[in-house]
Amino acid sequence: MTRAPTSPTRRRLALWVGGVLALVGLAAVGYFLVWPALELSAAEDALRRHDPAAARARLDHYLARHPGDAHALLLAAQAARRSDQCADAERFLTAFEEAAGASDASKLEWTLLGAQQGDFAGKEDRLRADAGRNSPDAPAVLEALAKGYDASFRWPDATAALDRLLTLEPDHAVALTLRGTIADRLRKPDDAEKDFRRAVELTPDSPATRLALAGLLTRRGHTREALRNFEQVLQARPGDPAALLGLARAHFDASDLDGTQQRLDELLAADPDHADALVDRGRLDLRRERPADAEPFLRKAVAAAPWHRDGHRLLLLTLKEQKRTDDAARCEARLAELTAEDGVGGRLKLRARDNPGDVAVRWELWQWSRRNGQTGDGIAWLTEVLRAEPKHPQAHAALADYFETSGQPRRAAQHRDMAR
Amino acid sequence: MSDNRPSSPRRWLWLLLAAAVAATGGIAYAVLAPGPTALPPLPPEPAEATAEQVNRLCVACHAFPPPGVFPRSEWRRKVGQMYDFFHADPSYRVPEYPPLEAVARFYEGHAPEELPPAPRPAAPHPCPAQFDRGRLRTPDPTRPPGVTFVGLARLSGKDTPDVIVCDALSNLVLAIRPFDASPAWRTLARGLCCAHAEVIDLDGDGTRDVLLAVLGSFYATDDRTGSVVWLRDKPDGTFELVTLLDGIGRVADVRAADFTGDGKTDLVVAEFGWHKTGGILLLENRTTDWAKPVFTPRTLDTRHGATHVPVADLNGDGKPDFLAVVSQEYESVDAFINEGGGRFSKYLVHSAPHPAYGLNGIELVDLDRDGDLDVLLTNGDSLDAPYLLRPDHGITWLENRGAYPYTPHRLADVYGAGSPVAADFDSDGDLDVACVSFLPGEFFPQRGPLRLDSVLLLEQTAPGTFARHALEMETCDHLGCAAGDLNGDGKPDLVVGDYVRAGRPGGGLTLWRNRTEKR
Repeated sequence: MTRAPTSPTRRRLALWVGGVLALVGLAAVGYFLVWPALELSAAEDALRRHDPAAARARLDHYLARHPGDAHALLLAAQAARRSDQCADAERFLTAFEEAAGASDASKLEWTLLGAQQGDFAGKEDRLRADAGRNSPDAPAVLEALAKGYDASFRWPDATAALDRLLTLEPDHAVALTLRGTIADRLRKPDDAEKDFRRAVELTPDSPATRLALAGLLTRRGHTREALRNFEQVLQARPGDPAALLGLARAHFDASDLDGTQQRLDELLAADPDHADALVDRGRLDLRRERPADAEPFLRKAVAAAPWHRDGHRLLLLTLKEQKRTDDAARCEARLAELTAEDGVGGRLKLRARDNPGDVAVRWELWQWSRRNGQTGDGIAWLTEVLRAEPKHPQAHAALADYFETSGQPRRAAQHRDMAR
Repeated sequence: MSDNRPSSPRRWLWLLLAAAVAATGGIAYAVLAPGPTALPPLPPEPAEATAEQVNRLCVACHAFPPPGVFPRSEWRRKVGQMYDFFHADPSYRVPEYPPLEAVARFYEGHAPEELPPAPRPAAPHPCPAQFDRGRLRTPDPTRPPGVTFVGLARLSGKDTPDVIVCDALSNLVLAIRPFDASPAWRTLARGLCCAHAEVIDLDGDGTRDVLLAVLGSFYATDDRTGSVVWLRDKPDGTFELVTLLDGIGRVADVRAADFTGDGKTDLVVAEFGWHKTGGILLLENRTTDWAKPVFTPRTLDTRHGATHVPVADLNGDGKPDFLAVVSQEYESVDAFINEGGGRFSKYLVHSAPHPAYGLNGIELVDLDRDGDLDVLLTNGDSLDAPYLLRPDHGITWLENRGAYPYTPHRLADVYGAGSPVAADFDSDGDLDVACVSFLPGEFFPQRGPLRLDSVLLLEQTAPGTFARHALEMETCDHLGCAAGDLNGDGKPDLVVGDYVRAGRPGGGLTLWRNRTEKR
């Protein structure tokens, strides 16, 4: 049997098909190998540029395809921590240690994750020493210390750490944002704006930085610029609650009541119990002189957040405007209770100020903060308790509960152990 | 010679393949990876609000502030603050309000670049009142002085008054007799950040007690750190600290009188607070056993920002009335006329021209000696950012002509003016006026180069006419002063307190001993 001679056309066709298949195959290799490598490298670069949100976005893509990559998990833990997404940071860190075992890097990461939440766990002095040695870890340690001091209301310490960090790395956007936040809190808005603007310049896609700038711009009367910055955050993070609330408030300043309503309704559609949004929604209806429409929002707000002073105050206004005397009297009584609570809080803060070593009053302030919806302040008081008395069992138990509910079971377990 | 390189078509094939790998990875990375998001365009700028729109919005809560009150660069922030207050309280009825930036544009379009300087006319002649100047350090040598109040009262029962001092940095209430042979500080209370102290026999036991207005925090806050404290005189000369009311906003003043006419001393309280707290309270004395004093609070006025509530029988009906200085955005002086039984009618004595006026001091005195009480009033609050030298700061005489409001006469423009007092300093038979200035050095570094007045004496040269004499310049660190005859020589001396926010330890009181010869 003789083979039929291959025609030149068929041979050419086979060559083309083979070539295309080879190209597709190699393209697939490029897609699966080169792109991830570039993603990982970009994430590392973003972390070096102090843009943890950008790093996190890259790493989320990468980890979706390589969920067990230990190096990426550690980077993701860093990115999440530096973006203040502490629950995610703990999750990544746990996954890293499951994949690769605990390492010096993961142990440091674990310590920094606690420290930046004010949970220094007796390691503050060591971290300060590390930061002072100009080691390669010094910037990371200073950043975590500054955040931890801020969370514990130790603002002079936080500012000192940030000033040192910014001496080492003047373009540290995270440090600039935090320093601006503290300056704003200490009523130095010019300093705050300068830091925020520089941080935005350095990391234009960082939602946290833009939110900080937009919030300040709103308070300083630059409504349009604030609107544009909030909108940009929403483009990057659709549905972001802080951006939606900020936008609603900026629209309120701009006398755009429909815009205010649209943003608040968007927020409430995603989170129907968002107390601040509910209160602002009630406020909007009161501004439109529709007290009956405002009432359900405000009722829901004070049900979700029984400590909400503004919610009760506005609810009282709606009830008075509707001439609902009995309901108004009940609401007034609740407001009086809250005012009495504020009196208790004022007395406790004075006692704490005058008695720096008084653990009992700090513990009372934690309890006061918790029942008045000021968890952040409360955590600061708990850290004060543990600073004065590191083995205070109730404080450890309270922190365990806090970390449990904030999605950090491993840290919660640590405190649960110390509470025993 | 053999050529091992791939033949030309093969080489091109390999190159093509490598390029495809790289390009695919790169394209995938570029297309699928998250990229930067574009900044949305700036919304269009709203048209400038009209004066009518701005006026309608402002008067919903306070007087219309004219654009000249702040320089152009400050207005946007101020308007931002105003909108915060406006949104906080929807009971301010302005259904269709202009956009914030429209109002900001209105002010920016009409405000001056800078505030003009205040006129400081030179004295036409040397000051006829002569003083010897002496210094007294507050007792804690490690801290800078934080004197918020200076008062004169016969606490120790001697012929001449003691000087009572509140120090808000070391949280002490002190007394001293500066012209004793060996003056020594006496600590009346510790741990209290106070704005005012009044010596009074509250429980009627014949001994002198002290009533304290406790801020709790010198710095502005809505935390309920304020209280009213009674220092009850004990037989050993010390005081027992009794809290009559606490858990309220910062208290700037408390005065005592039997307002209800039941024979018991009640209290009127200026709860300054800040933005969300504050008001004017009457504490009705319901005490039956002074071991357990009972004072029941009743709100007389819900406005925050009350600084002073001096008591006097303003209408001559034999019942104690009081005046209230209310600052913050209200900036008014009101007479609370006692109708009996703890009821009051309120009359406007004076309304400041704008809500950033900074009322901060009052003295009731018959300045023109026509038999009724007039008002000496200062506006010089300098502790609000942006820390401007305000040309409208100064001292005003509100002349009582028997009707409300009183008739204002500007006596002098004084940056940072406060704590007005009246006395015949030059011994010519009429009343002169003195005041001090508070312009903290860290916020007003120009106070030195400009040689701003820090202690000022206004000599009454003819009825209602005053000549200005600077007793001291540059060190504008004074929140309180008092005038009285401290050494029993029949001539009014002056005592001035130092509050040095960020400064060196030392200082405390300056004594201006009057050595003017009788004229």
